Parts: sequence; C-alpha cells; structure tokens
Amino acid sequence: MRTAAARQTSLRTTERPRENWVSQIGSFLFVLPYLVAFGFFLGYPIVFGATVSLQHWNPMIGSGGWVGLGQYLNLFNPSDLASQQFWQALLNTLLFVFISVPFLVGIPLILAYCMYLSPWKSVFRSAFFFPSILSATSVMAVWSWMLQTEGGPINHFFGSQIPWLVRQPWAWISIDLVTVWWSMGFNLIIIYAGITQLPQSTLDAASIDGAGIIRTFRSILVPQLKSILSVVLILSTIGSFNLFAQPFLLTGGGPNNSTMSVSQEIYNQGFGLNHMGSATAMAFVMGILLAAVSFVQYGTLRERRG
Amino acid sequence: MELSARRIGLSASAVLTALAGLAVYGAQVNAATPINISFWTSGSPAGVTQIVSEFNKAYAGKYQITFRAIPYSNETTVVNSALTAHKAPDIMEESLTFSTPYAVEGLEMPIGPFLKMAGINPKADFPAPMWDKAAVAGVHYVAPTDGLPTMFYWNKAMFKAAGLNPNKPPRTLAQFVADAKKLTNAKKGVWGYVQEPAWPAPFQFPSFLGQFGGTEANPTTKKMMFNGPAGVKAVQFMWNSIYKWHISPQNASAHESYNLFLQGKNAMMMTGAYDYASTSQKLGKNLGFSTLPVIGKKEADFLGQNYWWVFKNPSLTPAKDQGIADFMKFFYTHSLQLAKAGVLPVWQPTLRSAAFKHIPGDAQQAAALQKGILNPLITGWGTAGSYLYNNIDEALLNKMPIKEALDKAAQQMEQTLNQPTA
Amino acid sequence: MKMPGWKRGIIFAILVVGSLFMVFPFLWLLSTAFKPESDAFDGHLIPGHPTFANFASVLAPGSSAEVLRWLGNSLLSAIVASLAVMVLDSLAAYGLARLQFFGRKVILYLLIASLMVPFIAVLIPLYLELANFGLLDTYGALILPYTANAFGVFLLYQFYTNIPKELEEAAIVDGAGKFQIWRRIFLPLGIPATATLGMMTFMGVYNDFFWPLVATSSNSMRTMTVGVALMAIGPYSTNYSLLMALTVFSMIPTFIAFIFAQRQLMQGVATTGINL
Repeated sequence: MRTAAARQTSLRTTERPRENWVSQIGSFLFVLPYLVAFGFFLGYPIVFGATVSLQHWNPMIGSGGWVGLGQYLNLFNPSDLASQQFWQALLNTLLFVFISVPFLVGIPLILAYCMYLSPWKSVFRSAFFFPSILSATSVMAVWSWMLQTEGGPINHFFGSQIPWLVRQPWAWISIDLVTVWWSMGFNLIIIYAGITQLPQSTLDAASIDGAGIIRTFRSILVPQLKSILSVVLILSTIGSFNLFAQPFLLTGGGPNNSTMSVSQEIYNQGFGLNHMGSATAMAFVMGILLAAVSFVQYGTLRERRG
Repeated sequence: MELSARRIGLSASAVLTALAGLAVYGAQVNAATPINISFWTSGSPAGVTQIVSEFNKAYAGKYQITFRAIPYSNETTVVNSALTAHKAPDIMEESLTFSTPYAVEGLEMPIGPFLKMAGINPKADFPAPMWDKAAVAGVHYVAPTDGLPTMFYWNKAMFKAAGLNPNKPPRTLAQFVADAKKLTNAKKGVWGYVQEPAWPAPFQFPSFLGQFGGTEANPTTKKMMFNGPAGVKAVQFMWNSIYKWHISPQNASAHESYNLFLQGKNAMMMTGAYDYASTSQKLGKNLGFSTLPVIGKKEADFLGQNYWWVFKNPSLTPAKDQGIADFMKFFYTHSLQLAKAGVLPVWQPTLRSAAFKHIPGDAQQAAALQKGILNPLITGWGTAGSYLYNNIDEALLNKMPIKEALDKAAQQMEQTLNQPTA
Repeated sequence: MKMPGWKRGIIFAILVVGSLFMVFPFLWLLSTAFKPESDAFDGHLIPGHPTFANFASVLAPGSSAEVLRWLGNSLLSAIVASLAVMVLDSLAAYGLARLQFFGRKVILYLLIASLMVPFIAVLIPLYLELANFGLLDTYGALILPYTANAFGVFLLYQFYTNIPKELEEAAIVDGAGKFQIWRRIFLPLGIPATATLGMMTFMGVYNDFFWPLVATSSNSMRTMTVGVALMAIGPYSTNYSLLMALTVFSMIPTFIAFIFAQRQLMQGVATTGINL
C-alpha cells in the first residue's frame, strides 16, 4: 500500500524532464523571497539558539564560556534539580497529551455527526467555533475566575465544593476542560466538512439497510473519515505538546508543580533563573522529541491510510 | 582716549551681544536635544505617570524622561532581553528580589552617589526597615520608591452581625481565633477567615515567620532558615485555621479570601495593602483596616515594595547622572501624588506631612511600614521561592507534615541557589 | 436520513447543551464588563448596577491606555503580516510543490524541522538580531518575524500537490511561463487554502502576546494584547471589570472578522484539512 503512495510521489517529481540550470534558477526564484524571511527570522535564530545551548549563557551578560554538550548531558544527571524538573515537566506534558488528544478528536467527531443530523447547523457551528478566535489571556482570565472553589460561578451553579484548580486530579480536569472548550471548534469544522464531503449514498445506503445511528457512526462514518481524523490527531498532538498558557495562567503549574509544562519549565530556567544555556538545551530536546512523535504518528497513519 | 574708550565699549558690547547670541543659540540647541533618560517600572504606574509628566514639564528642554510600564509577571523577560541587546533603561524599578541578580553581576551603579547629588540622606529620609538591609555585600545599589505592607482587613458589618465590637478588631492570636469562630457559619458558606494554599501566602508566611522571631535565610551563606521552629509555628497557624479551628474553608483557590471578602462571605483577611482601594470602594464605612494582629510573639509584617536603581549604561555622563539625581529628588518630593493614587510613598517628609495623614488608609500602612521585613537579597530568590510556596501549599492541602515540607523546601532552595550560573 | 423523533430530540439536546457550555463563559465575560469593580464577584449573570464606566475609562482620551492606537497597531501588523505571508508562502509552496531546482528536498525538510523548534529557544536570538538592525519598537519588529513561519508554506504545499496535473499541462501547451501558471492556476485555485492561511495568520498575530511584549517598548507601539495585560494585570491584584471591558473591546476585530469571514474560513479550514 505504502509503495503505491510512494510511487505516486516519485512520479510527480520525475515526470518532468530534468531542467537546465537557468530554468532551475528561475524556479528557485519562487522560493527565494520566503527563504530570505526564513533565513533572517527563523533559520539564523535557530542556529544561534543551538550555539547558546552549547554554552553557559546568562541573558543579562551573555556567554559564560563553552561547555560543549555539557548542558545536554546535565539533563541526564539524575541528582540535578533542574534535570529532575525537566523530566517531571515532560511527563506532565505527555500526560496532558494523552488525556487531551482523545477528547479533542472524539468530542468534535460526535458533535460533528450530531450536527450533520440536526437542523440549525450554522448556529451550532458558530457557537462551537467561537471560542477558537479568543486570545489565551482572555480565555484564562475568564476561566480562572469561573473555576474558583468557594465563590466561582461553576461551583455556585452546581452547589458543589470542587477544588477545580487547587487539588489533583481536578487541576488536570480543569485544564483539559478549558483546552477542549478553547480549541475544539477548529477540529469540529474540519471533521464536519469531511462528513459533508462523503458520498451521500454511503450514509443513505446505511440508513436504507436499517443501520441505526450508532452503527452507522461506528462502521461507516469513522472508517470513511480516517484520513481526516489522522490530520486532526497530528495537529492536536502538536498543539497539546506545546501546552503553556493554560497551566501558566490557571494553576501557575501547581499544585506542587504537577501541572508544570515543559514550556513553562524552559521559560523559568531561561528567564527566572537566568540559565539560558540549559533552557535552550531543554527546548531543543523537546523539539527533537516532538519531531519524533509527529514522525512516528505520520508514518503509521500513512501506512494505514493507504 | 575717549574715542578709543567708546570703541572699546562698542566692541565690548558687540562681543557681549555675540556671546548672548551664542548663549541663546546654545539654549536653543539644548532645547532641541534634552538629555533623554529612560525609566521603566514593573510596579504600579499609578501616580508615577503624573510625576513623570510634571517633571518633563518642569525641566522641559533640559531632561526628558521616557517612561515605560512592564507587566509584573513578565518583567525579567523584558529586562533581560533588553540587557542582552544593550538596550537597558537608565533607571529601572522592580521589587527588591529582582534587583539582586543585577547587583551581583555588576550591572548596577551604586546608588549612594546619586542620592548624594540629589541631597538625599537615606538614613533619615527613608524608613529604616526599607533601607538598612537593602544592600548587597554591604553596598547599596537600590533605593525604595514605594511600599506595600501586609495588612489586616475586617468587615465591620459582619462583626456587628456576629455580636462583636466592629471597632475592636482582634490584636492577639486568642482574640483572632475566638472572633473568627463567632464569625464563621460554614453551612452558609460564611467564614471568619479564608486561608488559601496559594496566593497570598508569599505575603503571609514571611509576616508570621517574622512575628515568631524567625528569618527566611542568611543572604551571605545562602543558608535557609525558614525551616526552624518559627517557620513551623507560622505554617502551623495557617494549617490550624483550616483543619483545627475550622474558621477557614478547605481548598480555597488563589485570591479567594479577597473575592469572598468583597461578597461579605469572609470577615477577615491578611494580605498586601494592594487590596485597600477596591475593598474600601465596595465596603465603604464597613471596612476595617489596620496593622496585622500579633499571631506570634511580636508585631511584624512582610513588605511588598518597589526599588529603583541605575543600570551601568555606557551612555551615562556627568550631566545625565545629574538629571537622574534631579529626577529622583523630584519624584520623592512629589510622592504625595503616589499616596493620592493609592500607593504608599516611602519618603519620610511625605509620610510625616499633614496632607498625607488625611488620606484614608495611608496612616495605617505607614505604621506597618515601620515594622516591615524584606525578603533576603539572594540571586534567584523570586524563582526559587516557588519551592517554598509549593511545599507550604502541600502542607496546607494536608498532604505533607509541616516540618517535612519546610525541610524539603529548604533543601531544594539551597541546591538551586548555590548552583553556579548554568 | 429518517429517524424517530426521540432520537432527533436527543441529538438536538446534546447540541443545545454543548452550545450553551461554549457560550456561557463569554456571557459571564460580557456581563462583568458592565459591572462596577466591586460587583465583579457578586455571582449574578445580569449586572445589578449596569454601567458603561469600564468602557468609558478604557477609552478615555486622558487615560494611559491608548486603546485606539493599540488597536491600530494590532490591526496594521496583523493585516500586513497576513498579506505578506499569503504572497510569500504561496510563491514558495508553488515552487516547492511543482517546480524543480537544486536543493528542493533539503529546503522542504528544513522547513518541516523548523516547525518543531519551540519559540522560547529563538526569542533571545531574534531579539538580538532586531536590535542590531535597529528595528526594535518599530512596525518592522511587529511584522517581519511572522513572515518566517513555515507552517503556511507546508500547508499550501500540501494543497498544491493535490491540484491535478492536467490543468498545468494545458497551460504549458498554451505557452504559459512558470509565473503565469502560478498566477492563473495555482493562485486562484488555492484561494480557499490561502484565505484560511491569511485568516489564521491574522488571528495568530493579533492574539500574540509574548513577542510584541518583548519587541516593543514605547506606549504608542504596543499592541492590544500587551496593552490589555499592562492595564489590567496591575502589579498584584486584578481589576476584573476593567479587564473584561478591555477584553471585550479587544475581541471586536476578531469577532467582526469571524462574522464576515465565517463561511470562507470554515470552508478553508475544511478544505485544508481534507487535503493535508
């Protein structure tokens, strides 16, 4: 299956006869403007960042000498407090990825199907998409107050005493809730569009066969939407991996650092303790891990898709 | 002779005219290019903006202060980025904790010469608690701009309803607990006191610690001292209010004592003076406001504060130094503006003035200032302090014994603070 | 599809409850913006003492909040950045997807790899670079760094690779050059994806907080998000009513964009998702 896909890609690039170098330069000109921007504002900073990760680097005074791979090796020193915290934060972030991604894919999938079967589609679509346009600061400002234990509107409404932001597992539940609220709409729109583009006949045929809603959903809809769901899955994984604003503004990483994300840990190292060298090393380790996860996900899904 | 004398007179007057012209020209050059002094603050810009614009008006043509406010939670990001690019401001105002690393790295000018140029005598002109210990290795790099003591707030209407004298707030631990019990009606969600396992603990714990006679750490040896008996007693008080006396709810969120206080569901709170403006607006005459009751052995309260210093910028010249000194003097002598904007000045002549004493709420804060204590001046205290408060939170969530929590915090903080710059 | 009424009812109920959950926090935000500060925590959805005072003090000409100026800065930088991104990325994506030149693959992998680097690692280098160019606290600093985002190129690249070859070949037969093929075929056909990219860039730039916070210093160069944080996140405590009023105000442009571009945006998001 995969070879078919691969052949298709290779056909695409080799079909055109090899061009002479003048023509190649002409083609290159299309990419050049973007490459200039990339080089200046991303490429160079990344290279610079990589050199910072090989030094002692204090943002106040600059370099404090080269240490080679010392900052990276130090991340594997179990007695070092910063490295302990880094791995703890990484585990926290992974936990968040595992608990948020299923909801970020599953809930929109169910809602999209409901929307497909219901009237007033555009009203619902707007309501569900609306929070996605808000900035992190406004989202967290509202929720940090809605979720207060004693006087927060949510506990007030339910007459409950749930320590939403104060104790585990509630702190993770709250962060997950807010994340789903904030960013689910995007996935919902993609999945909904996917459903509307399915051949009408497949869904109708199912209903003629007398298949119930749930069976149609499980045995027709989900398999047909596999490629779209895989896109949504990868985008959600990358998004969740970059978790920062939700715990930073809701719980401050607490209780007792249990919701401390990698991004926040890197931020604290670099700008709180002025250890920019080790902070950058952490950032690159995180980037490599993220790349590996996306690569594996993309690979397996492509295999299945074919 | 006469002629020549006239000639001399003429030529002299010509020279004088030319000189005058030059002087006017010089003044115009000056007017066109006043000395620019940049001034950033992460404190409250309330009142400061007015003082800066008044100064710019008064010294138009000579100095120009460029003022910038930075959000409190992102200050180090902004300032450190500016420092790396050699774009640091001339004058920076932040809380004391954040000033220390710059002093240790040799990026700050000693403040003494500036104060001297301005004719300020720090020992007489600032409250002693805000000046004496604010030195790194014996050198003063920073001077206080405003204070933010930890205060005691109570709701007089709730006191009346509970049969207590609204004008006789508790002054001792026993009175505090007895009053709080009378004020609490847990079933109705009404509390005598609300103890969060979160903010404002960074104001409360050092206050209680000081009241029990303890200190946070030794800035020279970087040895933690908050885990001694005084620290345990301080946290024990906070714990008891939740689990022993049941005068506070469990699991309160950050800032909840304040939110419930505004709603009339919390009768007493102990937190920074920053909540005075909004609580007095909401409660009006029913707001009681004083120094903290004595929970420990003596009066003491933690001082939130702002300090300023001069960055060692290459652009400093004697003329600019003078401008900085002039501005500092102007700022202090106009600090009644701060008081009017709800910020506590630390300039003794202002604190003693009759006009200041008429501003409601300020006299109590000024009294608290005299018993104030500061955080130790150790690089990284602000960030490493999160270990202390994480562990206190664990104790207040009843997940860890108090002594164990404080010991763990001390061990983690010592390890972090003694680390060489990485 | 034929369904019994009760099933329809359940589905409808799920959607209604879900929508209420989505909209409810926003209603709270709106209601608080119309309350005096002391009522912010009174627990009522309908303000007891409704007031425009928060909006008035936010917009007052003498207040230190130069809200209209910040709004202008945000809009200007977001619009220019999205236009630049749309043009640059479309050209680059066409080149990468449909043309041949030396190093094409390498460039593509570089771009994809750059997607994984967290922003925090490049913050200081980027800042230093702009300081060296003397661009700090200018519109250059508020616009240029956003043009480097590789996500857009990747997105359009995916879209362009799926455009049928026959269209291109017909144009080649007609004697069209590469640029004309881009302008006459890829640009128009890519409109849904490009528009989505533009909209996402607009929202991303408009809502960005960290970079404008660090890169601008004067009051008149601040953007809306930084202004909101500065005005309302005072040193220690928070004036919720004022914060919410400012937040409501800051949401107006994205809200308007959302209402007018909704159909286009959703169509774009959808097409992109399908083609990715």
